[in-house]
Amino acid sequence: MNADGMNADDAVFTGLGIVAPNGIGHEDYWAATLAGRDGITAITRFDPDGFPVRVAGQVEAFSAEERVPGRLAVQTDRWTHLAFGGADLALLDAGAELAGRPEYELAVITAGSSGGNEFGQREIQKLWGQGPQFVGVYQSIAWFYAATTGQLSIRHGLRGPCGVRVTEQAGGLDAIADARRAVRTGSRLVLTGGTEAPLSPYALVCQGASGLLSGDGHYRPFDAAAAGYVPGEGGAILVVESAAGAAERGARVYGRVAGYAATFDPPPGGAPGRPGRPPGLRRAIELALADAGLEPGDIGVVFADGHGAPEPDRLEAEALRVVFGPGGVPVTAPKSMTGRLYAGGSALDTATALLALRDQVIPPTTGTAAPAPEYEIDLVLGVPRPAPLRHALVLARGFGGFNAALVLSL
Amino acid sequence: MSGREVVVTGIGVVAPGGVGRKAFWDLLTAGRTATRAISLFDATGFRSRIAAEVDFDPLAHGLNPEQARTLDRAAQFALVAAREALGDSGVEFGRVPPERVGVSLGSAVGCTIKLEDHYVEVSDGGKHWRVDPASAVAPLYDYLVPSSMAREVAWLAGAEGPVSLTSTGCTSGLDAVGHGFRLVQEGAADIVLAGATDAPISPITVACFDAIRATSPDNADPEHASRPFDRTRNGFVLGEGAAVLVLEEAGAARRRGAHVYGRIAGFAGRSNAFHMTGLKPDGREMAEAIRQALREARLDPEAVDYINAHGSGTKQNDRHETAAFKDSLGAHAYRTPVSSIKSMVGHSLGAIGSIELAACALAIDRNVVPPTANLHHADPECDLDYVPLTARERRVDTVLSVGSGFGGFQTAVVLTSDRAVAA
Amino acid sequence: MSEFTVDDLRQVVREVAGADAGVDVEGAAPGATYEEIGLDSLAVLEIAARLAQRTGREIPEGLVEKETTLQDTVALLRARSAA
Repeated sequence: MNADGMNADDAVFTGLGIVAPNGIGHEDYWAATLAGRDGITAITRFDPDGFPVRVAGQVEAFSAEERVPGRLAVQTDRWTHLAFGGADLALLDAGAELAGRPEYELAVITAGSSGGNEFGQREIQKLWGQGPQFVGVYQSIAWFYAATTGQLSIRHGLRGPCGVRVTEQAGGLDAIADARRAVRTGSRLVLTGGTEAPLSPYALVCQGASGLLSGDGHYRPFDAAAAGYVPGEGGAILVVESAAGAAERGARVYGRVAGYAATFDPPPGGAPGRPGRPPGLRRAIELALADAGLEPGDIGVVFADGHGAPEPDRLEAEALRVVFGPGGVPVTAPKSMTGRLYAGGSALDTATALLALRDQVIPPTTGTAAPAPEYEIDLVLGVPRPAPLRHALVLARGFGGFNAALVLSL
Repeated sequence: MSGREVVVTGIGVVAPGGVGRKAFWDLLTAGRTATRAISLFDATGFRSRIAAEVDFDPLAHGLNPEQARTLDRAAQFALVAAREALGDSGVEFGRVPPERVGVSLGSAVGCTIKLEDHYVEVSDGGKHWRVDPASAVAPLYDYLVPSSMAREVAWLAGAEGPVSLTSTGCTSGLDAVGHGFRLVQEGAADIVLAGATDAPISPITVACFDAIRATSPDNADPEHASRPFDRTRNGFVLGEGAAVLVLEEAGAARRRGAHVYGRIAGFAGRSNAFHMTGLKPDGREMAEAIRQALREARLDPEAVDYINAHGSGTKQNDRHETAAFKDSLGAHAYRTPVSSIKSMVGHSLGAIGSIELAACALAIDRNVVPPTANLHHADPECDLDYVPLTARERRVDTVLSVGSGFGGFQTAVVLTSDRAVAA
Repeated sequence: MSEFTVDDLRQVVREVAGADAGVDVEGAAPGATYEEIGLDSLAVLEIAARLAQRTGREIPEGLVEKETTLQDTVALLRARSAA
């Protein structure tokens, strides 16, 4: 742990629980990511012919039978199964013993976007196909957006201030900011981040309606030929503790939350009477930097939102150019290897940034041949780039205009 | 947590019994109930066939035909409530920098009606697991991810500050306002539209509560089915609706001569970490949330003039929170009026917490405590003063509002009057 | 349904409750209650619902509770199918 500049109530990360299409556990995931190995495969759990995408980031190696107690597995969706797995990995990584800790000082705050899709679709199919009395008891607790936080709270005895954020891709960062607030107001340890499992047939059809899914099955952030993103399942659960608490138990600290901000875009075409206002990503970056007490030049790497569609990519590149200057900071989007995991994605990006800080290396973006020249961004492509890193910036934009920026520091 | 003071300067409500703040307050003070036989869909074959519904014509309440057609009912409620709150606040939005305006909306089940309606189409009535992608319609992604509703409110208000959706089940309405409170308190925004919405009266939701027998099966007598704290209570009555509060930094509100309903003085959440739906009788985690909220408000239990209960009307809930009140407030619990407006407007899941906070703010503003309707039979386990049947005029300076929900969430919010400014 | 046995019931319990260290279905004596087996109130409601679906007949509320034993449940089903 870096002693200078760290306050007792800073929120620090002490455990990473990654459940990603290209690796389960942070070391597997990190090795795959540095090697440019992606986890995007043909959708296997149903025949995707005719569906908006036929490939996705799937965590095929995740077995609920192995990782989730049977009693819990039947009453939860795969979305929550992935979180159970992630939380176990994160707590193991943190070496945190929860028993005997003051119960109200432990909490869990996660983010999600679409809830228990597969479970919900099964139940609603029973309702409409057979009748209302065929809807099972667990529908009332498995589909709704709070299910994962609730279940983690029960499983690990977390009685502090628990929460659930829904802001699509920005959610993971928003939940982490809530965890920081919890730490500042007395929570000693908070599980945070999030997972998603959006690959049920109905959920995929809903995603297709956004018009943002990749038409050709490729996910190429910032590429001139970018034509949409590939969705995926998974995410990351992270253990956040107070710096003082982590120090007291001699925990290994990956880094701390140095700064955060959230902003919202004006409506398309501008608000009535206020045409021409710019999107809010740039301001989110500036506010997060100010919150961290840092200048753009302090940032060693940006983990981009990397939407992979022309307009969002252009806007993100513009925000980066304005803040950091043309090619002014290394940018990467390793989500090209996992697909866009929505709230799980920004949580995974955060975990990835922490690993980059740990190992002083920037993971690559794959899929993209070259960034469009007019973006003027220094995109780390193909192979990892060693770099002296002290501070990382993670960006996430949720569908509809939600911007979030998180600054992580060693 | 110290920081800036936060006051409520606008209230908008869409609730069973009448759209709008006035109709809502009239219902509550008259002790009338708005529970009836479900009319929003054919509930034949369901165990509980009653609900608290809003008679709602979107076009009559300011939405345009496209919004009426494409927005989920919950989003429509949120917009109408938000618009009323904005108007009520008197804030001149043209003079407030948009980046200083935020939105914190709550919802437990999001766009469930639209999701279910379209599911029926794309699955051909539940016949196909591999639903038909070709029959999908454009707004489906908005329905899948409920933050779209926060977006709608943000567009209405021209908000470019922090905007989010909180979805903590039945405490969403309290938690979303609590989050909005934090945003203004910490200086991330100067004005936040904070509230919640749910429109869950649809087959899948009714069926899922049927399965766990959480809702009242008193189909022959809908008006009296929601009976919080009554010895004969047998479950909650599902409701729908929305409420939005305009939260403002107190100094700015006072300087512009805003009408201030009250101040958000404390907010705390705890979890029972026990069971997704079950509650232990001791209510200790809710008691802890209450204690923490009072600590933040820098108030002793004796300061509480009125408790707005979760009061869902299930056997276990009403017993659980009665114990929580006694645990946290001691003897003062016996001296404090407690009431549940769910007796009148039903339980609208994530929305109800905000609807209840609207009632609390109005209670402070008008010095009237709403009653608990349908309370005729005393329950020895619930032996506090639940203000049976008739609203009560009394000085209300400090209100405690609590909520409890699936997943184990327990939340407490303390509101105080702003009549005696600061001390 | 007159042939519905305790073992059949154990299968339903297994499906509802999931294979779990905390739920001992195999070792449960016929006189064990659902609570003793390790089931919560939700699981018991679900068991009752599945049994109603299998028999095609509603099971009145209150007949299958946490305190009900496996053998009493079987007896109840046999009685209802015989009626």
